[in-house]
Amino acid sequence: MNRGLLEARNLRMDYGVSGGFMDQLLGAKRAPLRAVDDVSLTIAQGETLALVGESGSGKTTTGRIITRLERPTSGSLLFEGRDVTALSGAALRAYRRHCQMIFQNPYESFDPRLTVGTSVAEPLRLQGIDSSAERRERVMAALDAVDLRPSSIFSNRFPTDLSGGQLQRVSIARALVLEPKLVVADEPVSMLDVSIRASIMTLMLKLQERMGLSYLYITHDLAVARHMSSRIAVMYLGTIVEEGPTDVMIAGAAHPYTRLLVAAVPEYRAGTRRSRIKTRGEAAASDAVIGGCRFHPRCPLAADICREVIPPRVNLAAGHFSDCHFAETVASRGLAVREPRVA
Amino acid sequence: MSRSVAIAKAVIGQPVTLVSATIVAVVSILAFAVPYLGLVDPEAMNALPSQPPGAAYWMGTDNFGRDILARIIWGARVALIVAIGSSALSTILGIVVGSVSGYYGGWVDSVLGRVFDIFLLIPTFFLVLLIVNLFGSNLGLTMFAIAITTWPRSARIMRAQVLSLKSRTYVQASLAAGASSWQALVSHVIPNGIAPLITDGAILMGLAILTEAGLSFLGLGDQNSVSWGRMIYEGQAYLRSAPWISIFPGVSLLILVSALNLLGDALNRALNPQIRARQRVARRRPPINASPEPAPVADDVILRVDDLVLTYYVGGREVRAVDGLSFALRRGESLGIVGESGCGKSSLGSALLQILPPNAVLSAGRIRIDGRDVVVDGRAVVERGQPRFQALRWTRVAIIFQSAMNALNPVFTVGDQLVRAYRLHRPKDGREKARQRATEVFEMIGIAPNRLGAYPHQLSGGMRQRAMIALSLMLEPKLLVADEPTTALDVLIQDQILGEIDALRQRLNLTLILISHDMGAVAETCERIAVMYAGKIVELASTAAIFERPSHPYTRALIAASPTLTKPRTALAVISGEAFHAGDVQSGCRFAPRCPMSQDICREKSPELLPVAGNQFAACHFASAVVEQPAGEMA
Amino acid sequence: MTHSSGADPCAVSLPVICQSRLNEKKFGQSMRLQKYILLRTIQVVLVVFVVIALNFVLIHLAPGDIGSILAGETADPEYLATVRSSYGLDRPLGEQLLRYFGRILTGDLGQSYRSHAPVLDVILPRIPATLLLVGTSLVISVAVGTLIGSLIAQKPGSWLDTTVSTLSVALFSIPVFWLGLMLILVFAVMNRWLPSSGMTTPGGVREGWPAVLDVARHLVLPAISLSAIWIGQYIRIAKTAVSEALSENYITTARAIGFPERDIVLRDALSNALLPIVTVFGLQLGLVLTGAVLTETVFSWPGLGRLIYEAILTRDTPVIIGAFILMSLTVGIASLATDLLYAVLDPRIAL
Repeated sequence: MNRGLLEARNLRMDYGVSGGFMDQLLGAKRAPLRAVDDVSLTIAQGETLALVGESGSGKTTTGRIITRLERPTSGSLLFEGRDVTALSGAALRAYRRHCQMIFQNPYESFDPRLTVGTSVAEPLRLQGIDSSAERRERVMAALDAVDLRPSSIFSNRFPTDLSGGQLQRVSIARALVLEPKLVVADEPVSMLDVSIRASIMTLMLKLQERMGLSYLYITHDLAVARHMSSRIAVMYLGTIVEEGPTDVMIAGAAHPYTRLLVAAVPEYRAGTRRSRIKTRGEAAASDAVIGGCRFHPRCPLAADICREVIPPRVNLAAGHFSDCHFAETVASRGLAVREPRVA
Repeated sequence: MSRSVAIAKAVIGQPVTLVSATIVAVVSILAFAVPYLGLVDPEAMNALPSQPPGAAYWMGTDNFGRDILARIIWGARVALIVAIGSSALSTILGIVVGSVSGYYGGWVDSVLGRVFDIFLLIPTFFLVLLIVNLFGSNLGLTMFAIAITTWPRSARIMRAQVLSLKSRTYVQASLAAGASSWQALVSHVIPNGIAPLITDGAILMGLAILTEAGLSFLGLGDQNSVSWGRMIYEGQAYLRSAPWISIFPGVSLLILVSALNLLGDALNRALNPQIRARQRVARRRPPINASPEPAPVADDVILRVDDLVLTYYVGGREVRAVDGLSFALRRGESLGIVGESGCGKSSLGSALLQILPPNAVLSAGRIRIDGRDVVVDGRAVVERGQPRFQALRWTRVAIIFQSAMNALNPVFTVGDQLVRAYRLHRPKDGREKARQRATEVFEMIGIAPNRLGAYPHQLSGGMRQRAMIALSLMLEPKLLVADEPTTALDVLIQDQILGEIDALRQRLNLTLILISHDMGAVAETCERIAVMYAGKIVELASTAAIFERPSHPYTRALIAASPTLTKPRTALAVISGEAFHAGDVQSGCRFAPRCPMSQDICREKSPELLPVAGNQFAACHFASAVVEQPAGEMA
Repeated sequence: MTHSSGADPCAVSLPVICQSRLNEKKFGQSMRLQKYILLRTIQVVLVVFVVIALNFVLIHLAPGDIGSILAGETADPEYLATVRSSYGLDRPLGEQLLRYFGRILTGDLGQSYRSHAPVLDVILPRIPATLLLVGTSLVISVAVGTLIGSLIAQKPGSWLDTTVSTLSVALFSIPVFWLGLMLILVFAVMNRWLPSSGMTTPGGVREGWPAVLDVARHLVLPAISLSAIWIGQYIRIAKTAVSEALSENYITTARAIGFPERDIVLRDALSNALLPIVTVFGLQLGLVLTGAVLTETVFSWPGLGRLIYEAILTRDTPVIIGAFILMSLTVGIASLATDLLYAVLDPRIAL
């Protein structure tokens, strides 16, 4: 692996520590909600890391910290070796030249009062490109790059005139107009129709190749992650429980949660009915603080040790680790051994 | 742009609003032109006192012999000055404080939030009254006093706006592009947030006018200006002898304040698409009376739909959401209905349950459930004055909605809702029996019966969906329609719920219709799949046939465009063009513009759903050619 | 899917202000009720403190001598001196404020300049009459308004809806005092059907059913004036709340199950619509009291409002201030009570 473009170390994000004015008056302390708990990750130049998890897993917050829309409670963030954890003002603005974001909901991504062209030009304007001719040229080039042609016509349209797929293309154009090195894409296709998704995903891959971009691709959908990424990190309740090369994660995951996620992807399989593995309950934020492994209340393999001891990070191969007491067993035999199957 | 058009439409579109706008406009012009109109001096006591309305003095004269009409016109000036002055002051103050409070949040917001709360609880009229009482009465002070009491209202609205807007993606996007929070606030949040404040301004103006009138009526009005309130105050002593002195200013107040309030409402509607979108109500087609039928012949066809057409009335246009749909289901069968948003799959679900929104109507087709016609020629069949379907609801056909969408009533316990459904259809069975049944279905679906006492919000997403399934099973229906039952649930829970639906279907020999956008989910749960595109079934076949030898280019494209865990990681097939919108007018095959195989005939002639092989049907002129292509490849 | 910008979640402009409050309450789901009550009680206390402080500031800012504001412009020098020393007007401002708070919190609202009786003694006897008027009007307006509002919510856009909605706007655009005068004109002057002023017939029976009937006859016109305006408001609020509830998914579920439409509106929709109605009710009590002052003035109803009017006429500032403080306390407590009612109605607020 070449040198990391972005390196996040032990990121933590707590919410709701301060409480309201009245709470302070009454001396009431709210328990902090730890949305992100000790997350470390590295993204190399030109690669895509997929961050996969269910709602509430902290994947979006992690993405927002990396774009520095949020400032982490603790931990550090290095971009090309420089510390960007606590930047503000002009320095933060300069960082944003290199790191951009694509958001989930294309319908809400644009100020309804502004034309698409104005919205795409906004980053340029904010980054001090004052010549309107240059701005226009770069906006047109960006719209052209995302296949919104003729770009001069699209740039004068209002967001309400465009479809979801077209809007998401504009989002990509806006994110790329500054020619960043890293793009955080937060579920960019989850709100689009199936027939539109493939075209957006293909476009993102094409642009990555052309511009040498790195992506942090946030998704709940393993099939999409598999298609987009070279590595996958799985988050559960604020922390990364397993990370590894994409193919290994799909075929030979070493954490029961990853195994369950893979098993739960509904898919047509010729001639067979897939057997379902029964899981217990649903992710509850309180599971993160009960002690032991935070997945044990739902884990089909949970043993006494899981309830008592926080699992160590088990390195299975270069670039593949799992936070599970039984990582090796799971990696070699999956979940099949212990769990009775349910039709 | 579009907003001003919407406002203009709202004002002109409705007679009431048009009249209100005209009144406000005329009064404003009068009020500001009055010094130049050369009217009679409102203070001049030229006429005989207390003359009734007549030719010389249209509204009569007051007890001092002053012309009431002239005084009314001058009074309009006072009313509008107070209204504009105080509402402008209040709105500006509200925008500033509300924006700061909402945007910066944290302790700033908590402190300001308390201030608003406190101000909202102060009986403001008494504060105004005290201020005017202490400081003497003049118009400027009155305006100021009114604004002091109304600004927290404006600030609160602005704060709520800012709170909802600042998390909007486009504000986040602006921040991510490098904007400072101040830049984002000024260039995106405030311009998009002030609309409701402006409309509320009209209502504030009405409130200010009434407040000023009230103060004047208590004798606290400005002694040097003619105000309608003061006219009533002065006239009340002559109520018996010269009622017109107080009648006309009151009527003026009523008209102007009503006009302002109605205008404010109309502007609010115009700027609020949720209200604007109130659709025309479709005219219900008359029902068909049928004589009671003998018990139907034992037939295992549970559902038969023939040539069903469902029309929506959207903004004066007719849109066929379901356009000539036919299929049949036997007892115990499972059919998946797959399609993208807007293809009509959910409308079909509502049509089967006869729960169409007010702007939709079945305009043709027949629905036969368990051997009985419930819809013929798009019209409900009525037997002995009762729609025949009513007796089949929930006892033969039940539906499961996406439960994250508030499908259960939040103020009743889940158990109550189950029991109530049971007792509606089996009133003779008694409460105890209904409870027993509720316990039974809860156990069946794997929830502890003690959760029957829980309110929906006390259950997790997956539990709520299970409760919804339990509700659907209360009366042992034969046909279950599941409309996106797992959308919005987490991946693992989705899998569990689908598994449970599948298991129940087999155990209870249910007939299942699963409506979903997810090919994979449907593939694992259903034996047959109907693929919908633009209101029509384009392909209907067994699950294996759909995936292994699809015979419609759309089916083929959808499969090739979906990433999976098992297919080789090759490039995804891209379907060109934009999704079909219900209401697009287009002759021939509706998929033709996006179809890689389309020929001239496709643009001219609409293909019918015809058998391709065995039980496989497709609506494509080239179905037999498509089916020959190897799966997973596009032409 | 159309997403618009400044879309505001409320259908009519009045509940806009309440909606944000509602949302806050929903957010506070997990908040324990005891804590909520405690917070709200503190808030009521704060309101009263702010009102007292406001009074203090206003008195000091007002033109003219503070002593004569409090004692009355024509007070004799001896009384003026008493007032000056009891308020500590020669002391530093901070101490004056503290003394002021101290006095008011011990129930000493000063002396009426007109009657020289303690303000509290002047105000308290007036409260029952106001309660009777306001209570009657509120019950009528909430009941009638909610009923009519729920009815028209079922047929949005129909001519009935348009007509009733327009009329309801007109209703609350009427100046309440003028409506009172017009009612007097029609029902007491032109036709002598009902009494036009006071609460009892002078020299009439003072006990038993005839006395009750007498008060009831006097109550008719003022109660109609006051409730007419609020009927208009509650029609609007109920219509918005019910039609919003009717567009919820649980209503579709109820329809699919087959419940008759009447059940759906009255049980499923109204049970949810009551929540915003209650919120608005709590927020508007202050305005209702405003209407009461004006109505009582017109009908010479011997309540607090009439007292305030008389105090204005005689520039009896201590009485006005006392009434203001008392009104604030009343509105605060009533709003607290409404919040409790809300908690009872909404299971999402944990008990």
